[in-house]
Amino acid sequence: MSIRRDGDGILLEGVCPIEDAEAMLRHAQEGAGFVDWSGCTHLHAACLQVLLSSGLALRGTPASPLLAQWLVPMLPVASTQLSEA
Amino acid sequence: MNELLASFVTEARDLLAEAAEDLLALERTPDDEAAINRLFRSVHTLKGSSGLFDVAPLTRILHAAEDMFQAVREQGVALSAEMVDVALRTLDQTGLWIDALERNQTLPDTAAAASQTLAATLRAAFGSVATGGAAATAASPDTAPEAGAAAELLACFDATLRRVLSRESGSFRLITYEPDEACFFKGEDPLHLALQIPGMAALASTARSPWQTPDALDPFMCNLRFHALSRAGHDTLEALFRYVPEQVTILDIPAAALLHAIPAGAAPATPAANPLTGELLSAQLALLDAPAPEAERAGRWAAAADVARHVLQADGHNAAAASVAAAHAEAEAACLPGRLRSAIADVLANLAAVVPALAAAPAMPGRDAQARPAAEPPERTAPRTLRIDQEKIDQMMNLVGELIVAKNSLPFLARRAEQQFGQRELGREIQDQYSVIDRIAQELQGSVMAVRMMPMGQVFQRFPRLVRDLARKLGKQVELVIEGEQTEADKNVIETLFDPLLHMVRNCLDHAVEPPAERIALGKPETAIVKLAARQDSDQVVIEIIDDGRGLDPEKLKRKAYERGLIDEDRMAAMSDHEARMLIFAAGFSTAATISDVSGRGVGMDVVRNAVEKAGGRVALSSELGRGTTVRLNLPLSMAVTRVMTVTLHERLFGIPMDLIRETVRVPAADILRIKSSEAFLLRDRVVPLLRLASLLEMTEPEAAGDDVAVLVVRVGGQTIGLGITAFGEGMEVILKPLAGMLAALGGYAGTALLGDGRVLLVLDLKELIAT
Repeated sequence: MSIRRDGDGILLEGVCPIEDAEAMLRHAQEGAGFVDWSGCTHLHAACLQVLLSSGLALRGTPASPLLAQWLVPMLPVASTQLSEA
Repeated sequence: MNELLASFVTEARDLLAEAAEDLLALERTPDDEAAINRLFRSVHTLKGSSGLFDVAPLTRILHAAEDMFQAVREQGVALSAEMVDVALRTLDQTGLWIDALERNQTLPDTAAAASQTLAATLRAAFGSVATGGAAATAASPDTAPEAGAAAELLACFDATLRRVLSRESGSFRLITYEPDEACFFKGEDPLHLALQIPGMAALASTARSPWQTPDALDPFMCNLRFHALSRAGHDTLEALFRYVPEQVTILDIPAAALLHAIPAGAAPATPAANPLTGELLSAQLALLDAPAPEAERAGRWAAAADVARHVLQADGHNAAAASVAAAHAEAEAACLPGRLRSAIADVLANLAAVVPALAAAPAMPGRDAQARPAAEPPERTAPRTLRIDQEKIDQMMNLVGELIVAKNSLPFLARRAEQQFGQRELGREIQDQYSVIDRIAQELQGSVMAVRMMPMGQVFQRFPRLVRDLARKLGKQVELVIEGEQTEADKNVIETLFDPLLHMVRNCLDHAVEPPAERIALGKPETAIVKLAARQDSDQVVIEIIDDGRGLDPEKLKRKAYERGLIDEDRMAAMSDHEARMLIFAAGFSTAATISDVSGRGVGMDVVRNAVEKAGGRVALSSELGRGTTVRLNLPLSMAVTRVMTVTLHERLFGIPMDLIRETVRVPAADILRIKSSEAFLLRDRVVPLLRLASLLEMTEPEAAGDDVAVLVVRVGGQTIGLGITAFGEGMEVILKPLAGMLAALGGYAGTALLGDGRVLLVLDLKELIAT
């Protein structure tokens, strides 16, 4: 599984396919407080939608430099750095 | 209606009124920089607030108007009369939609189509200005339209982009990629595709429609839109998006133009400080701070977070909106409201912090106007004025009225204590207490009346627009001068005034003011001056409508009245010039040769007179042929309290409005002249008709046979009449209540008032009584 619940948080690991969007949404509804995506190498657009709309706080910087460069500035707070091209 | 919408409606009306005023000011003095800035700001604020509601057509025309005004502002172009026409029409339409919103909470179905037509008309009218404006903001003319369109898209990019761009030269491609809603089901991953964009300099995403709450979100419906800047060429990019060409637009933009466009549009980096946003956020903080029962707590957090998020999104602070949402989620999870509270407080602080920076920054296009409203001290959050439903004030007024009536019964009580129970001391004490309560009641009445007082400007402010439109329609040149708009009067009086003034101003422009050519031939200045002036004169307001037009021709008026059968030949010959001029107030009189849609239906001036007299006022007129006319209205400051004189008629008490009464006389029965069935008497060598109140009221009691008759000399409808009664009473101030319900149809009574001893006083409407 590329997604799992760990206490208060949601852990994303590896490539998160479209199915993870639903799971993430469910965790968010069940009270998950943050998403740790430091192990994530890619995220399906549907998952991005959930991150954008739910406003879940993010922890860590994604493992993929592409995600770190382009998605971190797009998403709210808790990101550790702002990227520049 | 939801409170947010209600406050939007009120705010919108104020802003629209201001905008119309500034537009007219701008037409008069095209280089009035303050006016164009205010105008732009009003429309901008209105557009911003409208984004909070589902009123896309409204937002669209405001947006179009905002663009136009911005272009005008940047280029200092003078507005033509046609531009002002279209702009005013836009404001009118907005006003109508605001009315509809207030009534039905939605816009009419036709709004979308109407909005498109109007926006197009607006753009067409301002066409030359607007395209020129875009060219001025862009670096090279041939890419100008793209840069204009890009500014909006660029708003979503991060501020860091500016730093990136400042190091670049050459040109960029601005890509907008809007994946199909159902693309996930086709196995597409738009994010994956977007991340493949070669030579990417920036990537941003926006929501196509506002994000749903997690409960309502369908994660498999794509609501994303991507915006990217790339250094790669057209061909490379088109190759990447070859499977979804219809979902992608690619624009060429030089880096320099981009740099120029970003500060104007980069809302997230430098938020437009919309004062409403700050207010709404403060309100959410207050909500969070207020103590809440356990059961309601979660609901309150959610409500506060939702409002804050929507407000911020509507204002373009997407990042801030997301951080509030995130904080809410954290707060819920950890059961710590502090997290959400501090997030909103932070955003609010940031908004305030941007302000000095905005104010200090060198004037950027589109910036200075936004900085000004926000430049007020940020701590000023609680407004000093209240908007109160008029009903509440009326209710207060009624209670004050009852208090006055109740208080008036104390002297009766004092007298009874003294006379009936022989308690002199007690009687005196009651009397003392009465004077204390009397003083307080008077002051209370004074304060409530003061609350109801409104400046005359409320009525006058509608006239500049009206005069302008009319003058244009009639091909005349008119300058409207307004004086004394600070003069205050009771709200009811002010409201009664609008229609009469409207009739008079219309008449004035239509009949009195000459066309420019005629004025020049007469040696008058080409532009006529119409003056509306108000001032306070003891307990009355005096309003004058003064023009320098043709003046009234008594001979012409007499002939006209004769032709219309309003007067006969003898009367025509005997009439003084002044009487002849007053003929314009006669019912069915109109001198306009052709009936226009401006005035001239022969209803105008007598309607004016009736309305003013109904409000307890008088109309006077003076005119000089060829030099102009002055109409003067005298109105009571307040209609809440009426002075009446009580009269007795066969043991019954009636009230007669004091302002009609000229004098009281006792006429010896022998001096009463009988002319056929009518009676009259001589008053200082003038024959005055005598009417018996008893017969006017169709009372059947026999006439009291006495030596003399008590006669009240009154002036009704311009005639002096003697009114025979049994005995005079005293003058008093009463709160007049109109007859209601089944009694409302009863003619001849102005209303009722309650007396101190509990009796009901019927106040007569003499004009109606005598006419019947």
